[in-house]
Amino acid sequence: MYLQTIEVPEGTVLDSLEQISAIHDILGDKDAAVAAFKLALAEVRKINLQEKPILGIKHYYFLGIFSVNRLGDPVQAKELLETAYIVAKRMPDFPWHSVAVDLSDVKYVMKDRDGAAAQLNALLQETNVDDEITIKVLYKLARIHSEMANKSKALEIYERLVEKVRTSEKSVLPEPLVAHRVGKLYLLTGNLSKASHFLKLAQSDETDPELKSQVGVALTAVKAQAGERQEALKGVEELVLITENSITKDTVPIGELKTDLGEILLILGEYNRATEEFQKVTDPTVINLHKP
Amino acid sequence: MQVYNQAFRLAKMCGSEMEGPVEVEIALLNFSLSNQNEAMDRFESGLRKYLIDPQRAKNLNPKILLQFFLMLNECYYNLKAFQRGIDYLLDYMSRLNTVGAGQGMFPNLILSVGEMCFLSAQYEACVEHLEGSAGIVNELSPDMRWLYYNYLGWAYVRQKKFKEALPILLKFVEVAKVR
Repeated sequence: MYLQTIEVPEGTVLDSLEQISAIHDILGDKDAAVAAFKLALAEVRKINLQEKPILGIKHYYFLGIFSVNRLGDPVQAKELLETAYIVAKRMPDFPWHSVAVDLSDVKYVMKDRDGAAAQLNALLQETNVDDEITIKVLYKLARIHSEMANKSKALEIYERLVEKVRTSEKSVLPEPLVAHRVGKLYLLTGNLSKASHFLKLAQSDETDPELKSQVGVALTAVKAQAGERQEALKGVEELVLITENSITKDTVPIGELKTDLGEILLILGEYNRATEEFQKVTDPTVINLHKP
Repeated sequence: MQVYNQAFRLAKMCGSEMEGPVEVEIALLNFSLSNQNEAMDRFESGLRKYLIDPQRAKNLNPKILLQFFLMLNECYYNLKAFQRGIDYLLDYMSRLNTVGAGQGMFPNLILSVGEMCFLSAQYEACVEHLEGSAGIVNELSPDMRWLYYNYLGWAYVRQKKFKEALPILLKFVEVAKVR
């Protein structure tokens, strides 16, 4: 209860402007969302970051994330998140690591892969980084190196990631998913024994039919490339069964699977069957060719 | 405190109209000594006794009464006794209606009910009380209207009723910024 004038606490108007912008966005009124966002932006700049750092971090961070995720403006997001990051890093004991990860995400969205990688590498040099963050950092860094065609670096980081996922109590990323990525990357580099090792690790997940079929394809490709013809053909038959099974065919992307099968059959010299599988990818009478 | 306790016993014994005011004095003392639980009990009991005699109730000064409610509410907030506060204030307003007194206090009391509903995550009830009391916002002092729009707007947001929240939040920003 209040009997006399009480001041509007700092940040209260900003909270509402952010919410108004979000509501406009939810209701599909982009222009109004941007207009409210700009008002919030003007308001956030009034915060004295020396005196109210926590308030500043909260709002610079929120507006940064909102800017990139909802308004599709990574440039604005970068500026806001950088401010949040600088203020957060100055504060002792403040969990600034996640702000750094988000900032690297924005740089990544802006195609500044070097900037994103530098940000993530800097985090890896830090001590006392939470496992959850480390796993995210390694995953993002490996992905960046992989995209930059720096496969050996990507593999090095992916291997660290697999180890971290395996030993961490926090299950941010499922180990089979990561192992599958590493295995596939080794397959691309022609290191078949390593590929096989990691793909077998990925086989432990029985709950995800899509991953299971992808791991199956990759393992069959390893066998085909290793010249284990009979084993590879056996793998192909099992995968064909998956594509024809009434239950699994609704849960796996059949088109991708058939393309992969075609490629394996090509390696095995089964050109006619390979052509058949490729044709099915474009056959309009074959339903559910693509990911459901 | 001893003297007030004695006075209270005497007033109670002889059914004096001073029983309520003396009990509120005891509440005030407890409040200033940070005995929040005791203060809350005493305020509640004492303030109810103010309304026993309808004629006397009509002569009460709402401003003074609101000062007591201000402290009582602080007890509710500090002790997080929000539901108790909501029930008490609603009951008190109903008693005020019965005796036809203290109508000028209603906007503040309803705002408090809305605030406590919000703080105890009863967002639907918060909206119900704030929206249900048509016109109370205009009876609030202009400097306090932002509180009404703030709680009402965010109560809608918490319920994901965004269309309803939007005009209220806009109103809040308008009112808060011109202050």
